[in-house]
Amino acid sequence: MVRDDDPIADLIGRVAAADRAAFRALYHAASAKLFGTCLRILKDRGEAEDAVQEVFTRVWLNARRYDAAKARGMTWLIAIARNHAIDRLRARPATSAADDTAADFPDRSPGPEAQVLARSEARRIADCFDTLDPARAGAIRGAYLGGLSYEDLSRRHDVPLNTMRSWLRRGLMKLKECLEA
Amino acid sequence: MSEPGDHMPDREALAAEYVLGTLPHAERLRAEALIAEDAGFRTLVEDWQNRLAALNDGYAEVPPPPELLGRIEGRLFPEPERPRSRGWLWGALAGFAAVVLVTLFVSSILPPSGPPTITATLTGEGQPLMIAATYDPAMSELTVERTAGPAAEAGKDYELWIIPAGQAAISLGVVGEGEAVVPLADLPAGSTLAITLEAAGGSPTGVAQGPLLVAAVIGDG
Repeated sequence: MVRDDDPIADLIGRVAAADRAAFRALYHAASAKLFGTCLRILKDRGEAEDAVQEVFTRVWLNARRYDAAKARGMTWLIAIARNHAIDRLRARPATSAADDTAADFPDRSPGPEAQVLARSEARRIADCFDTLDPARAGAIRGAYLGGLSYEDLSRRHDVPLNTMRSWLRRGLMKLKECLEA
Repeated sequence: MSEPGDHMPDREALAAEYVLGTLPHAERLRAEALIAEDAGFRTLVEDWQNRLAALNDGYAEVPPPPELLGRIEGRLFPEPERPRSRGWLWGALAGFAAVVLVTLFVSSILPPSGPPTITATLTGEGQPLMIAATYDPAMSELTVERTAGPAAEAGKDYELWIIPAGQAAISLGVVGEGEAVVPLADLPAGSTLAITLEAAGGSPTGVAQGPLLVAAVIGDG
C-alpha cells in the first residue's frame, strides 16, 4: 500500500531512531486521539491518563516494530491504545454490570481523519458495514469503540453469551467477505 | 441453518475477536501470546486492525491534561539528579565518565612527614591530548603540563577546570606551553580535573563553553 501522506508514520519512524523531538511532536499530534480512545473504553480520566502514559512508553520502546507498509501510523497507535485500555478493563476486578455510559462519551462525526484516510479504503469498509443488518453492525461498532465484552453485550441484548458470540462472529465474517469481494 | 460465520476458522475468529475487543481477559492473554510468537497469527490480527480501522473515526479527540507529557518524558528520560546551575560541563562529563581513566597515583617521593603528592593524567577517548597534573598539598599548588598532543589551535586555549564532587566547575585558568602552576587549597577525592577548548584567554563567562577534551577523576588515596 502506498503511504504517500502519513506524517504520523514519518514521526514514528524518527522515534524508532530515538529522536526525542519527534517523540514530542508525535505526542502533540496523537495524544488527544489516544486519550479520547482510552477514555471512551475506560470511562475514567485518571485511568485513561495512566493508560496514555503506558501507551506512549510502548510507542517509544516499540517504534522499531512499526511497519508503514502494513498500517497507517494512526491505525497502529490506536491499536496499541485500544489493546492496552481493553486489557486494563478486562483485568479489573468483576464489578456490577457495566453501565451503558456511552452517552457520556459521544461518538464523533466523521472528521478530518476520514478525509485523509485513503478514501477508497474507508469508503469500502463503510459500504461493507452497510451490508450488515443494522443491529449486528451496531453491536460490532459499539463493542469496538466502547471495549464491550461478550458478557456486556449478552446482558445488554438479553441473549445468552454464546449466542451473542456466534452472532457477532458471523457479522465479522460477512464483513471480511464483503471486503475481499 | 448455515451462515458464513459458522465456518470461520478458529484462529481467524480469535484474531477478529481480539481486535474487536470482546474476549474475556484469559483469552486476550492467550491471543497476545500468539501474537508474540506466531507470525501468521500476527498477520491475521494486523489485517483485522486495518479492516476495522475505519471505526476509529468514532473516537473523539480529548486533550489530556497538560502535565501528562512531562510525566511521560520524566519516566522515559530520567535526568541525573543535579541542579542545572552546575552548568553543561557536568552533562558533558556524564557522557564522558565511561572513558575517563582514573589515573591517580599517590607518590612517596616527598619526605614521609608531609601529606602525599597526588598525580593524575587527564585523558580522553580518541584524544591525542594528555595533561599531567601534580598536586602538592604542602604547597597548595597544582602543577599541570601538556605531555602529549598538539597545542591549542590559533585563537584558542586549553582551559583547566576543577569540579568538586557534586558541585559546579571552577576555572583554574588556561594551560599554555610549559608548566602551569595554580594555587589550589584542596583536591579531595571525587573531584574531577578537566580540560576544555575555549576561546583564547579562556571562557569569558567563567562557565565552560567549548568541548570537553580530557579529564581525570581523583580517586581515594
